Amino acid sequence: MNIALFSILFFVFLIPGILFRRFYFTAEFSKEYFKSSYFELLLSTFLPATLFHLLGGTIIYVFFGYEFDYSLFIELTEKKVSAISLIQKSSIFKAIIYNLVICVLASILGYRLKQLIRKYKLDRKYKLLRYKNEWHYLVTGEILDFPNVPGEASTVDFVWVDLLVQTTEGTIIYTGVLSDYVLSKENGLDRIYLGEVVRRYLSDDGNKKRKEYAMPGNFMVFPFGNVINMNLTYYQIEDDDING
Amino acid sequence: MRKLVQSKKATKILSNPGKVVHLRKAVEVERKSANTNTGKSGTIKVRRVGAI
Repeated sequence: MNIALFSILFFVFLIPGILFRRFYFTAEFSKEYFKSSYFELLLSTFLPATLFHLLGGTIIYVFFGYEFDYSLFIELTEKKVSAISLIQKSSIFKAIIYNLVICVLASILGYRLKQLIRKYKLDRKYKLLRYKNEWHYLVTGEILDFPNVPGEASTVDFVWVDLLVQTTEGTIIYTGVLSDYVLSKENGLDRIYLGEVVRRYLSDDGNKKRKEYAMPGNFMVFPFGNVINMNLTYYQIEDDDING
Repeated sequence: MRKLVQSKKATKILSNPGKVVHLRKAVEVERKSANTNTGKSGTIKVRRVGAI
């Protein structure tokens, strides 16, 4: 068996599955695309790829009366025919067009499926469909839409964060409005951005006259490795004379 | 920077230094209130989401 040729053909077979996965895990969930083990990766690309090829094969059979000749692949990998003679024998142009169409279809479906799941909040309702980026659900307040969690994410106007940070000077509490976050390679939190930050010493918390220091600047960046714990509170602004 | 849950209303308040002071104060009042889950300062009133 021609292992190299078989590997190339297998890779071409997997491309629609790879694209489907790539477009399914986009934007805030894109890191999940890289996070699987090799077995998971193979399974999660092989299954959709097989489905797309079955679907594609059915469509071209029904609409164009063209049937796949699988024996050609077996002949090719078993070196019964050369690749050149196979290209001459089969319609390589049609095969390229077929693969391109399947790849585009897989990309669109992957992206649309993600959009549908997000639009109808299915990932929040069903654990099976939930993305592994738990921080996204937490920092955006989407966790409030999970079953058995009181509240509604759509009512959240801003997230107030308290960070307990250990420094050489002592333990400091930083409070502020959550602005953004960055995930680490391991899908943990790498950095967190806060706005309107005020800091105080934890040891001052019992004192009536505790000192607070406002931090200048638009955003303060906290490497999450230094953070002992984080307290998130979701707030709704009820009435405000915005123009006042 | 990617926008998270900050609503337009919150963004407008946060871009106004005078209002930010009241927002902070309103949050402090809410945290000190035992049962109401609301806090008010100036024209700004906040309510904790998800509090039972």
